[in-house]
Amino acid sequence: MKKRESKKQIAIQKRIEEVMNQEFEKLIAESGDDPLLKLIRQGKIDSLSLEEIKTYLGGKKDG
Amino acid sequence: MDDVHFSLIKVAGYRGRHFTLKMNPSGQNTIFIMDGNTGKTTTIELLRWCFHYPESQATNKFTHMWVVPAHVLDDTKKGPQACEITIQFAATDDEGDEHFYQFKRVTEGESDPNNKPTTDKITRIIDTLEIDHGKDAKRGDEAHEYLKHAFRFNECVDYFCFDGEKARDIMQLSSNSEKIGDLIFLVNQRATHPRIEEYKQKLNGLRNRVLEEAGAKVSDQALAINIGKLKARIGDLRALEKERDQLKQDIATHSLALKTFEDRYKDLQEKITTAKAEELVERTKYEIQIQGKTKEVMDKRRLLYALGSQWICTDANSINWIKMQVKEKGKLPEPYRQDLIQNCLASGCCEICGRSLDKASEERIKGLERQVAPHEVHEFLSYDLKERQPAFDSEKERKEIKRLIEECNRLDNKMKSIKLSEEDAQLISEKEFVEQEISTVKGKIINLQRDVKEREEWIKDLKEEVEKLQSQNITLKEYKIILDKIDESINTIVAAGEKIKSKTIDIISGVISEGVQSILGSRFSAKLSPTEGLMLGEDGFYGRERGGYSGRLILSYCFAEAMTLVDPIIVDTPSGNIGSQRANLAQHLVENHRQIILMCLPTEIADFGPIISPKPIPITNKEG
Repeated sequence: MKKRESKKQIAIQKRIEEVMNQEFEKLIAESGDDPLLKLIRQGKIDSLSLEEIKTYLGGKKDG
Repeated sequence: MDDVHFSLIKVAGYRGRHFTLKMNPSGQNTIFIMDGNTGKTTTIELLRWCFHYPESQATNKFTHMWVVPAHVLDDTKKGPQACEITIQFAATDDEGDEHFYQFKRVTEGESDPNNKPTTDKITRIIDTLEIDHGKDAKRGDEAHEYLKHAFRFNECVDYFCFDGEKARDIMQLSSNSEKIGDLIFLVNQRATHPRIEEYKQKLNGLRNRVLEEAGAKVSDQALAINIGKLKARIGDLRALEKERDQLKQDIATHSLALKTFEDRYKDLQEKITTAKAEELVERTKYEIQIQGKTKEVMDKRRLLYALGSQWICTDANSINWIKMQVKEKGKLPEPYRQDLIQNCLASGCCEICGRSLDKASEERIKGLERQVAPHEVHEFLSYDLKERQPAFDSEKERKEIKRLIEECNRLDNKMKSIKLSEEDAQLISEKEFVEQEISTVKGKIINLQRDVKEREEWIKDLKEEVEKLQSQNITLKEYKIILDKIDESINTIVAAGEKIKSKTIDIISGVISEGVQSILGSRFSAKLSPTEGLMLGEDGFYGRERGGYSGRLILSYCFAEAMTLVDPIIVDTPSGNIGSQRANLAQHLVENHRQIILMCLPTEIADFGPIISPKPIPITNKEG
């Protein structure tokens, strides 16, 4: 499968999506201290084991 | 799918025309030099037809200029024929791999001048979408469904295929205070939230990991079955939620289409009512005129009869000569009766009625020569008529009567010729089309709403079943904290998605404003608001009439750019009425699109060619 070379310009639709995503991220961040969403934002959710997540959530819950 | 790049649009047999637009390779823009009647408008209209309507609904849905519906087949050709539209494009998937697509719509049938509402007598329409050179293919309505879900062409083809007609629509929408709601609805439809799906996927992935791990730990067969069931039910639940969301999206799209059709219907209805009233007024006007003229004719005729003695007896000498002849000879002068009497007697037949003369009749005819006139006749014959000057010019009156009659005939012809003009007939045809569309779209919305309701119920049942299965499984209890949190987090992102809708207007407004600034200069900006609609700003002052026609046209361009969901922009006659802003527009397009396809008039090349594509491609049509 051929990989497409991309032009440097940021297309308008991309820009809209970027701004929308930024706003979405902001809203998620503002929505409180949701531990799982925080893990997703940090890119850790797939790398942590279930036990680690359990401990993390338990800690959050206790704390 | 991302980075759409159109590579070819081929039209074969559309109204007997054949032309191919072959775009430059990926990474390059393309300008076609297309003079009048070479397919600029046609290309845009055919793309809209192909992407808006699935195969099963495409018949009589093509619109050309302001003709709705319009014919596709060649109306000068007899017998079976076909029109083939081919659209080739490439796009990249999430992994950056490029895929090739070829959409083809073949319309078969023949042209019949008596066929209504268009002359097209279509026997079938065949849609095909070939993916990666035959590795996969979608046929019929499936082709449309695929394009709809993967590219949302159906939602944005009006914007990425841009022409003067769409610009005018946007200008009307932005300048009409009553249509702000429609405008905002359109903008909200544009909102996409790819991150929501990404977050959901991550959370569902975590849930699957929990189930996998729990499944691996159980030794009890009943618990294993429970986990298997749970996995299957959760899978069903996700699929149903996706289906429901897609159906909701379809409802929103159809609602928008319905609103547009209803507005158009209202507009057409008003135009038709006005046209009918005008026709009646015109008819009545002619009727009144004819009545007046007819009365004039009758009055003049009565006058002529009444004054007959003043203008009939103008040749007194001739009449006096006749009188003298009758008086002296006791019979009418020749040739008034002599020949007639002689002929009757000679032939034995009455020369007037043709009956044979019996003896008594012959005697009576012979006696006519000797018949004596009564006293009144004698008296009449005894005096000479005097020459009289006519009291008025009868010839002048006759000419006036003749003129009045001719005038009446002319008015009558005019009145009889008043019927629906071609334009009015077109309005009625379009109204019928729109009426049909409204009914179809309403039906679809009802079905979609029913489907959503049905899925909501299934989702509710499935959720209860999942909860029950989870609570029954002791191995899952140790992961309860994770499972509970997953549900909480999903609710949080759904709520955030709803909140962002209120921000969409501001985001789109900002993007449109940037576009306007880049073309018209820093003094200009744009504002989109739910209360005031779309406005152009000049030195910080906003208004629906600011910027003149060219400014509002630029505003329309920027709005269309913000509304499209794919990157390429295909423009018919890009300069329109933008005046001196051509070079700025060209520069703006280059800076904001990965692919620009312009169909330019030869006179536009000097402005757009050097900036967008230095080697414009001339296009000519082949007939036949």
